[in-house]
Amino acid sequence: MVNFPPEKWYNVVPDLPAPLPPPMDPPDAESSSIELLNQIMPREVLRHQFTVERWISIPDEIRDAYAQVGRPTPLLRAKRFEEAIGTKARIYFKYEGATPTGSHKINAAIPQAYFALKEGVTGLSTETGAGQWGAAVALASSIFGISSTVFMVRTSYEQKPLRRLLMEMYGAKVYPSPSEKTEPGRAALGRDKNARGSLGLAMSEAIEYALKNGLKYAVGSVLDVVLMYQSVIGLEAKAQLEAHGEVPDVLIGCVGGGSNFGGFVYPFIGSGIGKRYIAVGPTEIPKFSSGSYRYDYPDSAGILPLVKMLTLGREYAPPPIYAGGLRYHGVAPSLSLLVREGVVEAMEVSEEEAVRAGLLFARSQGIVPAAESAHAVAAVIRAARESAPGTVIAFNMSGHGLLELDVYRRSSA
Amino acid sequence: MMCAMLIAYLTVGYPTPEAFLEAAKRIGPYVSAYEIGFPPRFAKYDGPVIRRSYMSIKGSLDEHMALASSVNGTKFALTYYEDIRERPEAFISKAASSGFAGCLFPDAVIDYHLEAEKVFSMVNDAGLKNAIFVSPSVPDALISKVSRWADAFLYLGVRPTTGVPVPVSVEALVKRIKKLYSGPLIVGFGLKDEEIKDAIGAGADGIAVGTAIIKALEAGPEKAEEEVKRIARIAGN
Repeated sequence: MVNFPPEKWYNVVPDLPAPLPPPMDPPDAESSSIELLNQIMPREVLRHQFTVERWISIPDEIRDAYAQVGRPTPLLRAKRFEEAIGTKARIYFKYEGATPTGSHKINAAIPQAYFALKEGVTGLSTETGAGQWGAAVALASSIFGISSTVFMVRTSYEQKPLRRLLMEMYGAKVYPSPSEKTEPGRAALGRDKNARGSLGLAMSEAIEYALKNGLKYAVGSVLDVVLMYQSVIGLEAKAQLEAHGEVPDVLIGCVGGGSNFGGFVYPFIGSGIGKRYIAVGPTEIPKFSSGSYRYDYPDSAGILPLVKMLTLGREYAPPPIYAGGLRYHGVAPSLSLLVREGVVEAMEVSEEEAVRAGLLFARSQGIVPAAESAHAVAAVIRAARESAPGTVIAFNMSGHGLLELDVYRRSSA
Repeated sequence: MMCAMLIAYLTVGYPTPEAFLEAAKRIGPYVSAYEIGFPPRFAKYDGPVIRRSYMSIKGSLDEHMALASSVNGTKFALTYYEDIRERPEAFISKAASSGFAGCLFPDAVIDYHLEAEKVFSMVNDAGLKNAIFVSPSVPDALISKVSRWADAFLYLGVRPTTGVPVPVSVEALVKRIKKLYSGPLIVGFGLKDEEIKDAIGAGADGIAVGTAIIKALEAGPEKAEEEVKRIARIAGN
């Protein structure tokens, strides 16, 4: 039985079906970008990234903060949604939208803010697309009394002023990216003064800003350590499903970089529970179907070490779909490997299908899914259609969409 | 206390053939075995210091093997499997005829786990032993499977690349492997002085040292000797 919040994080790496290729320095590098991580990330976060153990104890201060933000989050049955789609499968969802910032992102922000504070760092810097990660870092930093600086992709900065306001309410300094504050930002503006920015570029800006200002950089997805911090989602869900007397057959999550999927699904994979694991990406950013499995940079400026992953290339400019959290060129290394090895199925759904599914969910259950999570809802509908009566489907509702209702405007009219 | 094993890494012919041989001779009394590195096209699991050493040396594999054959003592031939994958038997038989005790391919388990056991069996068929390299990201089931072939030793690289100091808990990493494998365990990759004791304390049978020796050797074989003596003392030898 798991205590709430869980006492340990789960790391899937020892349980993978094949070795996870380690991060790598570029072949022609004179210096080591792996070594550079020492200056960028809190020491304990790096130690967690590189010390591969199955279970890592969660410090009490972090468990307290998890409790403060509402952990455990609810696990609910979507009975009216089952009726709405006419399935005999039983559908459950973990509702990460119940946290103050409205998404799962806070789970990985809290440990990074805590470990930064513990080593005497005065603040964190980070990037954000739609604003969920930025808001999470802003809140986590305020919980532990350190500063936060957020580089927000310009498109979102302009389109999503409420997210920006939320970050500022928690005390964050928010800059639109590309910005004049950093070298990669100035270079992008030099090429195009109206550049709209991308998550990869904002990442490069946040890293350089941390390096120049003695801050630490908070990483929001992709790295194994982030997926491990997110494992509280799946560990809670596993215990909550047990309490319902249910054993899930199908587990589903959407994928931007992979952190909510990994956080939710890996603890089930690790304990051998589940028959199908479905990772859902957007059709418009076809990294599962068109990406290649190779070493690539997580950030567009190539400051971080290379990791082996499914990628569309760091130069890839994602089309402007509404789900900003899915606009990323790669997939977390561990998830890429699990897809390659056939343990996890990849699925791609279009924005249109996701929005339709999200709307149906909102009408039947009342909860408005984030545009990202609506992709998972669409996959649930597909899986339910293929499933035998009595199948138990569980998915991660990674966030709510109350601050981005615009995406539903067209469809609900 | 039983003496800890000390495995010393040298890049073949680096910085010069003479200095390489001189260093090997000087450090001989303090080490249990040598790992001698033959330059691959891309030493992906090595840090900048060892990568630079590989890039600076010239000559063919035959010339390098001939040079390495004059090093006395137990020695393991190290290169990346990626480069010899077409004809591993060529490298293995050259190593056998050059007086090596065994082979070590740092990428065999990590990147080629499906064919690794075939290569380990070829090494044994040539009368050589396997020193098998694993990283912390090798899953438990695979460590259990390949470590059965480690008739020389299992080598755990505690960091992603050699000589690059990122924080790790050496004790936790070693304890994890000890639960899966009972043969001789060597620990290396950027070990700091205090971590040498942690590794031995947690049950490792010895340590491997590379970058520190190469750096010292760049200032002369006598400096390499001093460095190895210093490390041997820390290891309790």
